[in-house]
Amino acid sequence: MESAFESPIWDFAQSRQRKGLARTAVNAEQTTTQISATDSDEDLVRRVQSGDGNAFEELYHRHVRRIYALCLRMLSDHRQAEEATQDVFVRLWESVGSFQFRSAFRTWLHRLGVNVVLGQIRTATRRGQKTLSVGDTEIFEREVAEAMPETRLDLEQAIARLPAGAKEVLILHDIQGYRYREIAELVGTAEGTVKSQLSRARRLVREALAR
Amino acid sequence: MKDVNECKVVEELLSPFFDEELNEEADALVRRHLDTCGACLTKLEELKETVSAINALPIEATPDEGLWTGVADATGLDAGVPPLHGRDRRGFRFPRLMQLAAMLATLMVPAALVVGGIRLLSDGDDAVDMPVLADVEPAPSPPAPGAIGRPPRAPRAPVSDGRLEALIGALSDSDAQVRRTAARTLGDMGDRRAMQALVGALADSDGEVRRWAAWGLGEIGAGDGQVTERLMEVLLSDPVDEVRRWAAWALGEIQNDHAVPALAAALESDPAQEVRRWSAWALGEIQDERAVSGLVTGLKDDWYEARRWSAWALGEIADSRAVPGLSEALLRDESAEVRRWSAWALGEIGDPSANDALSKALQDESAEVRRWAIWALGETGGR
Repeated sequence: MESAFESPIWDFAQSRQRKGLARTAVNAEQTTTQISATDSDEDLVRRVQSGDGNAFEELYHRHVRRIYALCLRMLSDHRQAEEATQDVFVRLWESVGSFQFRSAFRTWLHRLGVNVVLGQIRTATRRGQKTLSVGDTEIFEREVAEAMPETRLDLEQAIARLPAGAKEVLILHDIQGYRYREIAELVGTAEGTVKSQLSRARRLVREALAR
Repeated sequence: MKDVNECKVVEELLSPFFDEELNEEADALVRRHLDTCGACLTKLEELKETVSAINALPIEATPDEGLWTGVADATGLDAGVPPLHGRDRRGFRFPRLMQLAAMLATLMVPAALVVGGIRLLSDGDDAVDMPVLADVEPAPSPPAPGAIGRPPRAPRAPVSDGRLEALIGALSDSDAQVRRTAARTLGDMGDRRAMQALVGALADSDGEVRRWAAWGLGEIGAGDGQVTERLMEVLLSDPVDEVRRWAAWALGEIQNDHAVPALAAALESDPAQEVRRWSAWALGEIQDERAVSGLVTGLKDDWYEARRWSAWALGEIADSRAVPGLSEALLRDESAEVRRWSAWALGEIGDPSANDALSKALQDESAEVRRWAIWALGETGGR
C-alpha cells in the first residue's frame, strides 16, 4: 500500500522551500556555511559526513516531527517517545557515515527510526511494561492532543490500546505505508504473521470505535 | 444458499485482499465470493472505512522545544543556544515539566520556515551570547524572504486527457472513499484543468472530499476570482474545521488579495485554532496592508501559534502600523517564540519607533529573543 495519505502539510513545507527561504549557519568548526531550505537532504548528508553540525541541525528540523509522531504512536508515551526520538538522531549522527546514497535519505532515516523504536518496545516488553495502562489513558490523550492537535483522539486511543505486535504492524502499514514484506523484515517475523496481525488490529480498532 | 464456511475464510482474507497482498488464487476466491455475498461486502466496506480513517491520521507531531538541545548535547554538538543551566545539560531527558513548556513554546514550524534566520558565531567560551553581527545578513538565496510574487512550481509529469477525465468523473462516484482519492490525486497532479471540478467538490457532502478539494486547489495554486470566492465561502461557513483550515491554506497559496477580509475574519473569530493559525499564515503570504489591523488583533489570540504566525505575517507585510502591537507582544507575550518572531518582524519593518521595545528586549530571559532583538536593532538603525 502506498503512503498515500501523507499530510498535505508536507506540501506546505515544500511551498516554503520553493520560496527559497534560507538561513546563515555556522558549523561545528566555526566555519560559516550557507544552509538553504532548498538544499536537498542528500546535499545536507554530504555536509554532515564532513562534520558539518549545522547541516545536521537542518536535517533534524526537517525530519523530527515525522520521527516523533512515529515514536509517540508506537510507545504511547510522550517521555519515552522523546527519548526514542533523541536516540534516533544520536544514532543518525553516529551512523550517517555509512549512508551510501543508494536510497532516499528520508526512507533510510525513517527505517532507522523504526528500528530504534522497535528496539525500545522489545526492551520494555522484556521488563514487563505495558505500552498503555488503563490509568495512563488521560495522560496519553493530553499528550497526543498537544503534539497533534488535529488528530482523532478516539482513533488514537483505539490504536494505543491494541495488543503488542498488532499495534506495531498497524502503525507501520496503515500510517507509515510499509508493505507486508517490509514489515516482516523490520519486525523479524513471517509475512503471514504480519497479515493476520494487521487483520486483527483493524478489526479491534473497528470494534473499539463502534463502542 | 450462502456458504457459511466460505464466509469465515473470506472474512480472514478481506484485510490482505483490500491491501492487494493476496496471491492470485485467493484474490479470485474473494472476488467470486463478494459477487454473491452482501454480508461480506458490507464487512469490506467497514474495513475500508476504518483503514481510511487511520490513513488520514496526521503523520507529524510536535515534540518539546528542548529536544534539539538534548540531541546536540548527546552528540557533542553546540546547539547554538546557551543552556540556562549548563551543568545540568548532560543526560538531559525531558522532564515532565517540559510538557507545559511545550504548550507555550513548541517549535511547530517545518525547518524550512526558519525565516531569514541567523546563527551566531561563538568563540567557544562563555561569550556565546555575544553574536557577531556581521554574520547576520540573510543568505543570498533568491528570492529573499518577503519577495512578492510566486515562484514557479516544480514541473510535473503531463497528465493525459483520458486520465484527467476519469479522475474528474470519479469525483461524482457514489462511494465517498473513491471521491476522496480522486480529489487527492487531482490535487497531487496540480493540473489547472482540474480546477473547476475541484471547486465543485468543495460542495461535496463528505468533509474529507471537501478537505482534499481545498488542498488540491491550493496545490494548483492559481485560479480566477471564482475559485477564491468559493474558498472564501468555505473558509467562513464549512462546518468541518479541517476543511476551513485547508481553505485558508489554499487561499494563501493562491494569493488573491480579495481573500484578505475573509482571512482576517477567520483569524479573528474562527473557533478552531488551526484555522486561525493558517489564516494568519495566508495573510502573510498575500502581503496586503489591509491585513495589518486583523493581524495585530491576532497577536492577542488565545493560542500561541496563532500569535506567532500573526507576528510572522506582520513581518512579511512590513507595515509600520504594526509596530505598537508587535512591541507589546515582544515585551509582554508569555511565549518566547512569539516574542522572538515579534523581534524578527520589527526588524523586517525596520522602523526606529521600535527601538525602545527592542532595547528593553535585550533583557529578555530567552537568549533567542535577545539575539533577534539585537539583529532587529541593526535593521532599524537603533544601535
